[in-house]
Amino acid sequence: MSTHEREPELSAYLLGELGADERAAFERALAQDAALRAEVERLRPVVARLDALPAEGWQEAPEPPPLRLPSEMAASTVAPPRRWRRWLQGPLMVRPAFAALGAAALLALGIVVGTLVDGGGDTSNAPAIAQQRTVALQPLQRGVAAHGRALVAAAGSGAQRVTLRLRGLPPSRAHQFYEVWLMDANGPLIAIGSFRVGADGRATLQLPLPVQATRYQYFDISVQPEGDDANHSGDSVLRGATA
Amino acid sequence: MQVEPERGVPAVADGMRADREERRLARRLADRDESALADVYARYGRATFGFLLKTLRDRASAEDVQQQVFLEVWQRAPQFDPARGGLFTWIMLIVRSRAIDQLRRRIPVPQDPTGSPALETPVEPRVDELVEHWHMVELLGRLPHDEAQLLRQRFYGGLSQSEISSETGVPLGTVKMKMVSGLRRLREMMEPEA
Repeated sequence: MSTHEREPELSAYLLGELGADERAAFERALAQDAALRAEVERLRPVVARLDALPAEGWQEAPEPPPLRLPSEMAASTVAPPRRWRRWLQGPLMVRPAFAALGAAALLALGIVVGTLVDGGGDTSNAPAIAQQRTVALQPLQRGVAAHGRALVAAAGSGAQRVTLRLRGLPPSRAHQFYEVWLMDANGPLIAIGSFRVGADGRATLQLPLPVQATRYQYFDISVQPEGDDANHSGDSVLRGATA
Repeated sequence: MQVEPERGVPAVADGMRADREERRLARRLADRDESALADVYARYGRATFGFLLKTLRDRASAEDVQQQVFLEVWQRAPQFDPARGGLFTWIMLIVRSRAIDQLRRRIPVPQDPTGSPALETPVEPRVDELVEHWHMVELLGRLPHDEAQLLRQRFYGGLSQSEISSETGVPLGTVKMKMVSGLRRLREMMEPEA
């Protein structure tokens, strides 16, 4: 009997559906038929992988979020979080250079926005604010007298931004910068902006939020070393609940 | 079960066709055709997102990483070498790396004097297992509907071939032939990526 003729038994053998006698007969055939043996060995791992597939593998996979194409991201007027910018700018961009540029840009933005927030500018062209709330940021390290507030504002379009007024922060050291994060207690976090602090220990920043702030539990401010590691340093100085 | 007519496409030919489609997609990506990225997303986005949701267990993180992954696919597309494996396998390598990055990022939680230190546990074994599962899910999605349904009834529904035959009215011999055909087709699709 050829391998082809044994196909009905082949699936039953692979799936463990043959009775004892049929199984013994099939295994005798296997011993004599190298092609059949090879076919069994070829298909056995497939059966094993299907057997190991968890229930959700057989269910309808969840709908993925819409993809933002690179051209759409580049054209976006809202600055994406730093990690995304890193992807957009290509592998040649190194973090120290980026951090310095990003910090300078955000510092400049902070100064401009700080002026506006402090009442020194014309805000007649600013988008209408649908709702806003303020949360306090508290120090996490002993001996640090820093404190701050985060004002989360949502425009009518739903886009959110956060204005951070931070005081008492240790001045940034060489090769260090501060980073603002949205994070959860159990780990997920997203970087939303970097800045440096001068001798007065103050910073006022306004940052667009790439996601709704309340999808994360906390605002967190960390001290980050310059380098190519985009991870949280583990050195937090301020934190406050987003809601 | 409504069993569709046999398509008559041998498993080997089907595997080769899938391979050719992947190569075409990869070539368009390498040629900086942005619509190819949308096509790649339509083809693989569901599997990668399912994997990320299961791995990260957090929708916001999964959405962030999903976006990062496909931007990376776009940027690194010229480096993809079809001689070294399939496009989906290559994408899953990127997804795996970014998922592990994300999981590791959670481990060194910021210092909190009121909290207890986090325990470091290796994340790779669980991630690799999930990569394998979601890879298989994607391959199942490429099967003809009737074969995929048959495998689903057997491996998810727990029905024997005889029970499938009784339940669907499809002759047992046909069920067995389609079962072997489905398994062979999956094997063919797995081989270029092994």
